[in-house]
Amino acid sequence: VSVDLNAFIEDFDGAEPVAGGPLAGLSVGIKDNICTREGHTSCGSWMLGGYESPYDATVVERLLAAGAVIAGKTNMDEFGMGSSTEHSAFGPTLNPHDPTRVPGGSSGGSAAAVAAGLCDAALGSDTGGSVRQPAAFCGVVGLRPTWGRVSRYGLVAFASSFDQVGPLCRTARDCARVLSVIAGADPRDATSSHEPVVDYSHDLHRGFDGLTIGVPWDFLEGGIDDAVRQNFDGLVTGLKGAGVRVRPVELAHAPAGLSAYYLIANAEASANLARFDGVRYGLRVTGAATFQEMVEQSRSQGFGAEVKRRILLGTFALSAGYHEDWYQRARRVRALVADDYRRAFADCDLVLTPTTPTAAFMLGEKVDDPLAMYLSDILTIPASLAGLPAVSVPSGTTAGGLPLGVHLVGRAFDEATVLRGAAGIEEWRDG
Amino acid sequence: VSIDREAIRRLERLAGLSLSDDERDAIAESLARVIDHFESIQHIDVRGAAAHRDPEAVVRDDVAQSGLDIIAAIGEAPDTEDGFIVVPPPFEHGESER
Repeated sequence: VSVDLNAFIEDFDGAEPVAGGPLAGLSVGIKDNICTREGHTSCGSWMLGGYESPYDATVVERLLAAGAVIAGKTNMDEFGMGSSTEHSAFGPTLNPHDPTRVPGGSSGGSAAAVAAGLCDAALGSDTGGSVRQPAAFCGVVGLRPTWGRVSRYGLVAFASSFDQVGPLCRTARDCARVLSVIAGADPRDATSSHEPVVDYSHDLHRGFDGLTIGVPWDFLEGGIDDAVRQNFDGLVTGLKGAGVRVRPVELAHAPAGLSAYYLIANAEASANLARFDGVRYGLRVTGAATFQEMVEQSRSQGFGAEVKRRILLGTFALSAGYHEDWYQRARRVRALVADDYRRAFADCDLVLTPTTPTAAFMLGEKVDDPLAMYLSDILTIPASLAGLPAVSVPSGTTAGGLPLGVHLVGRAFDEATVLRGAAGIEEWRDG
Repeated sequence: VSIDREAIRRLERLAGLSLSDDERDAIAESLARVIDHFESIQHIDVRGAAAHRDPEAVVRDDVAQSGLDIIAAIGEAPDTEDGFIVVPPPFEHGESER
């Protein structure tokens, strides 16, 4: 790459790795909202500028113990709130395939770093699509594990009922290797699951063998760019031609998922981000006469515009007079989306859609239009609502050479099948 | 739903924020459009649907374990004294006597 992508906002020295581990020598970028003792953890925000964590996140501990080398911290939308990595105090990250375009977000630094070969793998965090959408825009594989599959101890919280740490890698096999290391119960995260961890690489070679793919065609009506649709239709035809069973499924409530997601996630964010008050860590303004003034002024100076907008949106959804009709109703819609998947999985093993409605958009194109930015997540949000594992896999390019991705969703804790499907897509693509 | 300047002021107070007038106008305009779009969920039939519940948390054994020591835990606090965090007073001088 000849331009500075601004994918890494801090490079680490690279301590001598633990020899002989399952990830020996693998260089891994870490999203800036995952705590590391080395360097800083700033969540792409002025609020935490210069913050030094006193501990490593569990995922970082596990990577180091497995022999990985931490390459540094990757850029992100502030506190994970964005779909373009333009909402960062460190400035935007550029897409390595076209530096006039965004890498997606919020894990845009992680996706760009892996795509450009700056590291072998990266960790991101995915709330509504923040691993998968940038993976699609940058042409890498991005996995959102089942909610609870990976410990979040040391992940700075955005929306706790959605947040999950996931790997971005150049292949499904690399994602499987990293997941096998970071997955599993953690006594320091009471929401981490005790479901057994398997070797996610073991069955990758089987691809789609014996699997049935469901496609929610009704959900894909309208709002999807022609290039994305042509690529997707070509993939479905190709898979059928190769003997893969493909059948229609219905996700009737998925279109309402976007609204439900942004109401619930930002309600949770408004509570989670209350901790940034200038008292225990982060920015504190000087000269405030009272405690309340210090809190309000520190928060107002420390947070960027999108974070403030979302805190206010979440506060609206939780406030007296709106709580029942907005927040509680959104939680019911969330349950309906999860029911849709349960029904779909009676007829198929994986649900297939494009990952995004468009390829990577231009820098500045949506940054002043929050609704347009939110709509970029419409295809990844339903799996987040249901807490299911999902992966984005590169499936080709536009005529102009921009990467496109497809999205596979599986049953809870069945990352093994999700990654098998990802390997199956790679096999078809590389034919 | 009307999201005007006054509504934003009320949300600011609840959220511990204080915006400039320009910021407030910009956020009021964008939030009004976003909430207008989200109004679509008012038309979804949710009768009979229970609200989503997260899986039960698994708590660890109730045994004392060592955690961060106090010095590390408050090492990032902007102002400390003798192992305590220092903050401005809750009231301006004389305000509590009014």
